[in-house]
Amino acid sequence: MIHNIIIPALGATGGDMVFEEWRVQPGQFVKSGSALFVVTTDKATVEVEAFRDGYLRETQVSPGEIVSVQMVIGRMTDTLEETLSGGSVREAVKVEDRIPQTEERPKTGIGPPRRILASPLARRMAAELGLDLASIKASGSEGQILKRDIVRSAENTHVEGGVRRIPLSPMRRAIAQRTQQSNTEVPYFHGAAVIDMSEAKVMLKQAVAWAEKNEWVAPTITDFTLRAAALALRQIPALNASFRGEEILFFEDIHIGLVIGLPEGMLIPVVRHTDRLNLFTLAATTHRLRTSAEDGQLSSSELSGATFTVSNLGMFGLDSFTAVINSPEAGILSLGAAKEQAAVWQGNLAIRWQMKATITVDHRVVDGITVAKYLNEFKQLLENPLCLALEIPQEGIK
Amino acid sequence: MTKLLSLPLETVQDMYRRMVLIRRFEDQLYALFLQGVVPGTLHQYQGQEAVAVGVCTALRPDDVIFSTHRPVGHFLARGSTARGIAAEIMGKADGCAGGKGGQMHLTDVSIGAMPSNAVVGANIPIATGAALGFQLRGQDRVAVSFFGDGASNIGAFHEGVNLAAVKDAPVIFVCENNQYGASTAISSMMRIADIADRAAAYGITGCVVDGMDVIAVYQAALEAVEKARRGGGPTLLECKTYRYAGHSRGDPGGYRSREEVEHWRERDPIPQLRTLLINERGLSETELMAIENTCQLEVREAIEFALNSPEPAIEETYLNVYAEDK
Amino acid sequence: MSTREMTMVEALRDGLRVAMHSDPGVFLIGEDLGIPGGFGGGFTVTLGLAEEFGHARVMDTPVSEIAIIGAAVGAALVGMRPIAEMQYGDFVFCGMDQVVNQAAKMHYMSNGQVSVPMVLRLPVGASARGAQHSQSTEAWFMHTPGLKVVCPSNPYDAKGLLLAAIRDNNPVIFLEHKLLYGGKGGRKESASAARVVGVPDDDYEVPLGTVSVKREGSDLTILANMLMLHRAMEAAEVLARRGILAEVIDMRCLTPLDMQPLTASAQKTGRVLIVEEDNLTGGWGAEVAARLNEVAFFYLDAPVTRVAAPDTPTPSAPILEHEYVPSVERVIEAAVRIMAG
Repeated sequence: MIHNIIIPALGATGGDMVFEEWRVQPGQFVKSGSALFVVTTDKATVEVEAFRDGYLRETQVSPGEIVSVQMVIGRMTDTLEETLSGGSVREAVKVEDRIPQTEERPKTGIGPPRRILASPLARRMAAELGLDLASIKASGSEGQILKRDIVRSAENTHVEGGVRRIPLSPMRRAIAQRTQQSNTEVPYFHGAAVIDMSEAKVMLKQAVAWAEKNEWVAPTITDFTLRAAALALRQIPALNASFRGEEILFFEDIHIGLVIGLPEGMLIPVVRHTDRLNLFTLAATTHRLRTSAEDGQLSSSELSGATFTVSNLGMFGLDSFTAVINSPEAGILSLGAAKEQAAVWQGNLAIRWQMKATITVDHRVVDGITVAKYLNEFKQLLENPLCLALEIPQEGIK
Repeated sequence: MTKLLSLPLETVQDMYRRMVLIRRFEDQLYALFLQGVVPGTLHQYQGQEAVAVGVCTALRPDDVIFSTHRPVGHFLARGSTARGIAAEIMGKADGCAGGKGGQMHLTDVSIGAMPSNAVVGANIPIATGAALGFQLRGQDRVAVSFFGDGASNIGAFHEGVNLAAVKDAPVIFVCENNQYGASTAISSMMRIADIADRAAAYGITGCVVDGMDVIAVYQAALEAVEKARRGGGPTLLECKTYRYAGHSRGDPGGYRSREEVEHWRERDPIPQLRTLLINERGLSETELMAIENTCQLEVREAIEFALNSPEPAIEETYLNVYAEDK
Repeated sequence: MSTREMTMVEALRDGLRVAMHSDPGVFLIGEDLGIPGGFGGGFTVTLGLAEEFGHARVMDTPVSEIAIIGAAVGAALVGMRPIAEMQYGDFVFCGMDQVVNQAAKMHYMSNGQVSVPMVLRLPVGASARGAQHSQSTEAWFMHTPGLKVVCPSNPYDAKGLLLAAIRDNNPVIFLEHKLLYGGKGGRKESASAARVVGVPDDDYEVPLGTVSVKREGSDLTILANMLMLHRAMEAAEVLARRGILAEVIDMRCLTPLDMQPLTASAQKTGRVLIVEEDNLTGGWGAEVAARLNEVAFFYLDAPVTRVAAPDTPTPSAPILEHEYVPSVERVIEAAVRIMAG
């Protein structure tokens, strides 16, 4: 039996993807569940597994090509003989090739699209590096792009008087599109609060010690803020929403996206049901998500479904900042660094740990009072951190 | 027929049995062919039974034979099973070569029958080589090469016979002159009347024998075999015979006159021996019919077996291209 | 065990001797092999063997390639291990039926009941003798299922591969390049590129189905066999001085063909140049190029390229033969062109 290999729905925004490489050579056996090919979406580079045991019979796409969901990119067979039949791997006959040429094709005066000639190796390298072949100068005698052209391009040789040209990678392109759209469409409203983190820091130390003793993942300040953000959302559900033209959607479940900075840009993995996770579970979850993000191993489902986003640039020492909303969410919380400041505490001058939190909201969904209430709740939770560790009253018990 | 009386009765009876077996088998296979059950075509042996049986009776179990595209007679005469042959011809897994060889490439090493050869004359130098192998090992085994009149004109005949002559190789070259190479009368393709005359050109013994007389064939073959075993070198044994069927089963034989066919039918080796068995060895009708019935049953059973045998597994296509290291 | 400096002729002769000592079933068959006062086969390889093993086991035949090869098939069928020699590899065509229809197919047609453990030795290669004494015939046999094809480039491989071929249970076509024989005395080839190397004088085998990396490099993979291997090595030296590091692989066994080192090398360098003395169209290089295309396409920075003899019979005049057989210069030119892109 011969089976089509297709691009599955990879949970991206439905846009095109870039085919990166085959993990198996034609003629080779692949086990069900092991890696068959790799695709880059606008969110991540995804490894797609084989859906059955079999032999890769033929490939219909090469590295660097744009592919879309449901597209047939190759075929595999149950037996080696089916793959070997015919003696060599042939490209599947495309439907157009089978149409008999009984009529003269009308001359439209428009020539075929210009093909980019590149050696297979150059194509693969370009795809791996996220370079667009159209932007690379070819040095081959027949106008073909060779490996050395890719290497030259990747090394960013200086052209035109000190200006470096770097084509957009899929991730960079996605970030650019998202932020531009958000900035253009969404009417912003900001609110800020200064939060005393001294108590939280003390409790964090205890939590870390406890985690280490039990060999659990140690929580971080970010985990504390995430829990606070989630519990606050529970109390002020008006912010857990999304503007949709003629209606506003209010979500019952709380899924908070956490911004992870990476060398090439950023990813926003989602902590599902953030409010239901206790601090240690939250710590383990964010740790896993962060590691996966850094390794490029996030699945598309882990990158979608957020109802609210938290961004913590405090670890880089920034006092405060105002993040761009992750449209179509209604709000994003930006957290600065917790720093020791001179402050008034319980009537006296003291050195306290202080952190600035800024919230950006979609004014079509949320107004100033909601913002104030939310920030207040958030602040209270963090300044009385014991409440972070406690659960709401259980139902049904009088 | 000469010296029939000096042979043991069992030997002669078995000669009769084997000739009848060949005839019944080939006839039955033709019937199946007409029903469209046999893949490819058939090259049949009816009429030539005395040659195969006469020669093979003169051999020891450790001798080897090399047959042609018309191998059924030689294989049955040598003692291969009708089942294995039938299944092979039908292309089944239980064929003597697992369906890989087909009608023209039967092999049965258990009875010293090397792969039969569909290239006319090609087995001649190969048989010489086998004989040389025996010679080098100091064994008194012999090799027999069967071929037709047409093959006596091909280069391999000249080279194979000459080499055997020069080395005194223990090989017997049995030329079954059935008067035709496919549709071409041999008389129009050589200037001599007897192929055996060519033996003189190589300095070896040549001998013409009536190929319709199984005892005559047997005696001539025995002489040649014993000579070879003694180190006396090869013999070219020309058996004048006739095939009643066409060259292959696609051939209606339009190049032969009815009179000619009738003439040779009158000398059918099987009724000839039958008559002699009754007249000179006192066998009864009943006894002979018993032999004939046994053959009939054996053939029927063989064909049943072949029809019920499974087809070879598809993977067989890829197996046994190369011999494994032992 | 000791090692002696041997030419390829001496190494082959030694291999035959070792084989005949170790197995009484091994014998030689061909023309002019053991004639007293003769040349020891076409190129002195069998010189002296008839004196050592007798004229039965070093069997001289009439001029009859069909019979030589056919007899080898027959002897092999009954358990001997014959080594047949064609005086010139070109004469194998006289007996092609016995090679292709008989030797190659008996094991398969009989479904494994018989095998044909024979070796057919073919002196090949252009050597100023004209079109019918100059061919490189590998491709014909590579194309025939059931045969193995061996073509050593040096004395050490020659003896080891010959012993392995004799012990193999399949028909093996063993090509020997005339200009690599390095024969002494009257049969010395004038244009000989023979190398004399240290060869162990005992019984050893070089396994069939292997190729050999003779020089490592990172810029370009060169695949070559027999005389062309030497030309490729010379070219690699010159290329290295120009900064091009070529990896040279000796294609000493074409069937079975070990694709793994070839693929690994193609993946490493991204460029493959095949150098062959047989005619370009349908030569062994065409098959190897097709296979590399299938397994290493996505690693190639340049098309797999062949340098081969043109599609003409071999001309006789030395100046024309020089044009016909790929030279070191042609290999260098091709390599430079590939690197230029």
